[in-house]
Amino acid sequence: MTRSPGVRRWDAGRNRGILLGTPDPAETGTPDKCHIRTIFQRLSARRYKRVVGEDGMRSLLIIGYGNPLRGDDGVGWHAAHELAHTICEPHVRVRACHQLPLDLAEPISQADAVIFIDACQPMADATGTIPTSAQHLPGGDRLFLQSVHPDPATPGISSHHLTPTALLTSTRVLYGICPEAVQFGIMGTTFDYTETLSADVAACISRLVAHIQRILSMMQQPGFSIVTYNLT
Amino acid sequence: MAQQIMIDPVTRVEGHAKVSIHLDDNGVVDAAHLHITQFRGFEKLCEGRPFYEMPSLMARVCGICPVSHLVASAKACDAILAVRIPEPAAKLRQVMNLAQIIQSHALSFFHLGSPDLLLGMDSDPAQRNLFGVLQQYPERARDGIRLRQFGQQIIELLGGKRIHPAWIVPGGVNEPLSEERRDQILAATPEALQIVQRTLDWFKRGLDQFREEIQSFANFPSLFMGLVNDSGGLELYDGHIRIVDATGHIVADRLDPTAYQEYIAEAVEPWTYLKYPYYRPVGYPEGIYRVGPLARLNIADHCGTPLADQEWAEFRALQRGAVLSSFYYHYARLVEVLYSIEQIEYLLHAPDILSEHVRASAGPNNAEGIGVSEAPRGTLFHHYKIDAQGLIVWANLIIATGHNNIAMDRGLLQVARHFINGEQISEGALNRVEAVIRAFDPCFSCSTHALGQMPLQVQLLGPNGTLLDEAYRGG
Repeated sequence: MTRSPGVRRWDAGRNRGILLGTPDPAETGTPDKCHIRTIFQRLSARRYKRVVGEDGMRSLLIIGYGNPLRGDDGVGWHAAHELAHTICEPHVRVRACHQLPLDLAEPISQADAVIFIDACQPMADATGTIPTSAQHLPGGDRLFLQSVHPDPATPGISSHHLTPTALLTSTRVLYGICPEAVQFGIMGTTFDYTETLSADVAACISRLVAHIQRILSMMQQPGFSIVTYNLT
Repeated sequence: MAQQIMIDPVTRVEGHAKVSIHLDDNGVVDAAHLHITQFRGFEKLCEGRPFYEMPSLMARVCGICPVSHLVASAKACDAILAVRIPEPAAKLRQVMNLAQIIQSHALSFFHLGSPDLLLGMDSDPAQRNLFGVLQQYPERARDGIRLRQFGQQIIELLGGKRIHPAWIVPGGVNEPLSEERRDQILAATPEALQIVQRTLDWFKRGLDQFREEIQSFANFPSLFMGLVNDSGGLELYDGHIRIVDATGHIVADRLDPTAYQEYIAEAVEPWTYLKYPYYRPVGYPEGIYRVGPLARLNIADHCGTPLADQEWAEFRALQRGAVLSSFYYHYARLVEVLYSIEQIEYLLHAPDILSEHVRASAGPNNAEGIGVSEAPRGTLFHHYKIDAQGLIVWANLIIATGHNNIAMDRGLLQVARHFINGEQISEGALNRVEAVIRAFDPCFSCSTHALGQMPLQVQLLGPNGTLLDEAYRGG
């Protein structure tokens, strides 16, 4: 089931200590029920067993991260909340977080595909070259898409936060499995102390949501690979 | 010529610090100090804010133990309201506090301490990190992740989010526990118990490898302080203050936590923003005491849950009197995790745990309030004063890490004297200087309210301040 973008189902009256519009972490669908369901799934999940997608549907984990108090840095976090309120499908989970902790390795190991969303520049390789896999929309759009892969040579791991590459590497080391993954990057313009996104960056979110909905519609097609998805 | 070694920054700790080691004219370690070089000042920035904002504001002191600050702050506000919160609310606060202790101890043991414990103090520093543990001991790493998740998920189920939940409020908590969520937590406890039990078994089997560290890691007589309950058992939420000495003798008991200023004073030194609390009747610096897991197991007569009581008895048998080596903080952390899981199960089976009556309402009835609880790293004090409008006019926080400041300094000196000879620092010695600090699991940004990132720096200085050697690690 896909709900209309912008529909908010958070129930402020329940007031579980979550400020309206700033729940953390976001989970897909109606917040209370889906929130409880996904926590329960995590608590009861057997290791290495995919807890979603067991009906044959390919499962997708979306992780939007960033600091919503620092302007455009929080675009991933805002996008995750937008997606959490837009998409409610049993094989899709959405997580909004400030950074990437190692704890995410387990849910990643249980997904068939992962989408990271972050305010960033395209990742350069060791030579400083931007890989051709970084796709930009035409016309200087701030949104781009880049595939992400495990790389044991550059773990970049810390106890506080990891890069998507380090997180995928850790997932493979810990669980012997790693799903295919991409990163939607949005190039920010202001990172001051504000909870407001710049206009250009805010405009990217609706296009991002549309792309992810398109990916969702293609996910169950035989042979579809998320890393081959084309922004154009 | 006397010289000085600097280690800057100290790694795999929460927050930022540097260490200086001073050598005398003969190149022998003469003194060592832990420097906390940044300052945040939460006590000042909260002035003028309504007192009921304090729990949410003070939770921002720390991203690792926000629940601990929530609890102590809410208790201080309870005192301002002059209310006795409903019993189910007290139980629910305890559940969240215990979950906080589980996730924080799991972070300390598995993420920060395990590279030393699993890979060895002298192992290659390029590998002696969390990724090295993942590669060589993935089972232990998975256990660490699962155990931390267990604590965080309880916090999330109760408070709506893992970090900075606003569920604990003045007067109680803002939503009762549903049957569904209680059952979810209970369903997850068996796995958590299995993890901590097998971790304890593994840790105890490996203790012989660390004889030298046990001998030299802040292993000296001191006082120990913490909360105990009415039966003298381990207490993490309420109770009264007990202080024991190195022989295990009770020096002071049934002290009123809200009268802390009668028996705790704080000294200030020029090289650090972290104050030096001491036991006032003995004076500074002789009034050195330790808090946190090691201290709590030393002051308690028992834990109060079956499995933890067995482990506590084994732990206390390590030494006649109090267990003195700070290396055993790691061990004590695991025993406390075991206790916390058992206690959560016990609390969730209480007949009134699903009660709808979880909050007492009142306006401010006192101009002053003090809240005291046990945080993962030790006893936490929040003390507020308000004006007639309910605005904060004064606040004082004594954070757990601060209590251990004198002991950390002395521990550094002990380790430096044991492992450093001459003007060069070996990698193994450098790591042990850091590891003795890690054993305390300090949270520097929490206790000093430091801002920003501070890596570890160690400097070796001569008597006239000449820099002999210096080692840096990135933050």
